Amino acid sequence: MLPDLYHPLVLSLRVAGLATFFAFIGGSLLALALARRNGPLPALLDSACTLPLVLPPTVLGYYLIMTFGKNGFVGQTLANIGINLIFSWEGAVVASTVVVFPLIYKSQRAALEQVDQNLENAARTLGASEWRVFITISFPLAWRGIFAGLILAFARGMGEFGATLMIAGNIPGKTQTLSLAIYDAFQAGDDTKATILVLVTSLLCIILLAAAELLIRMKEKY
Amino acid sequence: MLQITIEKKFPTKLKPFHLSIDLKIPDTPQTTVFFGASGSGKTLTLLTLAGLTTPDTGLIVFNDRILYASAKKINLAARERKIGFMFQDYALFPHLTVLQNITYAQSHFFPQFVPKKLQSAAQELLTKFGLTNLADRYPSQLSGGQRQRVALIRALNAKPNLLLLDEPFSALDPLLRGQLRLELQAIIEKVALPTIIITHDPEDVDCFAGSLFLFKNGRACQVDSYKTIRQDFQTAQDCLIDILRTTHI
Repeated sequence: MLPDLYHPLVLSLRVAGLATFFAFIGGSLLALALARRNGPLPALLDSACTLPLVLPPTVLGYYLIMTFGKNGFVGQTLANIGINLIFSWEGAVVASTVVVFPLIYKSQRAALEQVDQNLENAARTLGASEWRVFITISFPLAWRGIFAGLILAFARGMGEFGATLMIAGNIPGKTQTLSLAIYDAFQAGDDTKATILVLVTSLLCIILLAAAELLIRMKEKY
Repeated sequence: MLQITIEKKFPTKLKPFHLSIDLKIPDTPQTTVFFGASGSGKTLTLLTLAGLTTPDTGLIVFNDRILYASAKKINLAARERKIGFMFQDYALFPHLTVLQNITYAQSHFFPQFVPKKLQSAAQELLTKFGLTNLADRYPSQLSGGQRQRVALIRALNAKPNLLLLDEPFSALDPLLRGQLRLELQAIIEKVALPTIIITHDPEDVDCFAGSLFLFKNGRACQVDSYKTIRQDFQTAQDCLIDILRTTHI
């Protein structure tokens, strides 16, 4: 029983963690580039980045296979250097990254736009580079919103199912995450296993959300 | 000598605005006042001067140094202009202490680490400005007058060549303004920096107007001899109302 639980749990944590990390890097750059920009191009990019939030997981999975599969544009390039994402746990990371990306990008952009522009401008007149303005002013004042977005993304990554199933499959001990293991156990009629997995997943998600809530309510010293 | 010639259009449907400024501000007198109603383009002109907003076209030259020239595609970033800016709400960094705020321009990267060498100098400055025991306070723990002084020290520590003050007293209790006006005047005289002060308070004009510029609907013009005109009126307010009425920009 324990190994049955252990592997999906660790895989889920790893996939969600890595996906959150990659989406954080990409989301930060994009949020920085698009914050406080109005215009047709930023608006278009913004919509494109929000798309994974509304597209059905199957559609997303299909696009991912088209892109990263054997005949896909990126897939062929990766195959040449010996990387295969289809039916591998790395494929699950790619799927989760795409799914959680809008959550991180959106919360990050909102948090950054809430920072008083006068503060950033004051730092500029004091000789700070754009990089220093971001690291020493914008980020410290926006980090709660950004961090809350990260936790939300991580929780969403833990629960990722559809797109992951399509690109990484459901291979026990290899690409089977918690949510896939639950589906498997339920289909196989193993109710005890399903119940345990469901409870573990629920508990994890509750802890994550409680942590996010605590963090947001935490008092700053200023 | 400061020359500002700028054009900027905001073609919004609801409230289109056209900023069209052409000013020359001589080196003496030291202080210059921009006077005008809110929405007349004063703050916008100051932001443009500091490099925080980019005009559509124009030329900004300060003491033979070109800060902005659309024809030559020159546009110095705010951090390169050496212009101190004190914002209306003072814009103190809320997550940094008074000490970290005033040394922001001098500390290496992270303002939280203030080099020992800077600390003693900063402490001296705070004492000089009557803020002796406030180095470790956060801006939210200061009174309005204290915030203003911190903002001013912070701007001066960046060693600017020109000081811009956007409505320095509007965030303060009216009863405090009179005293702080005199304080600020004394500080400006001491640091001997060319200073531009934005205001819509007639009393400020009396106190600071070395030269005076009137702003109206995105345009500005100089009032040549405010001190002389002022003698014919009881109050600064009456005088300025008359000037605004008779001046066509």
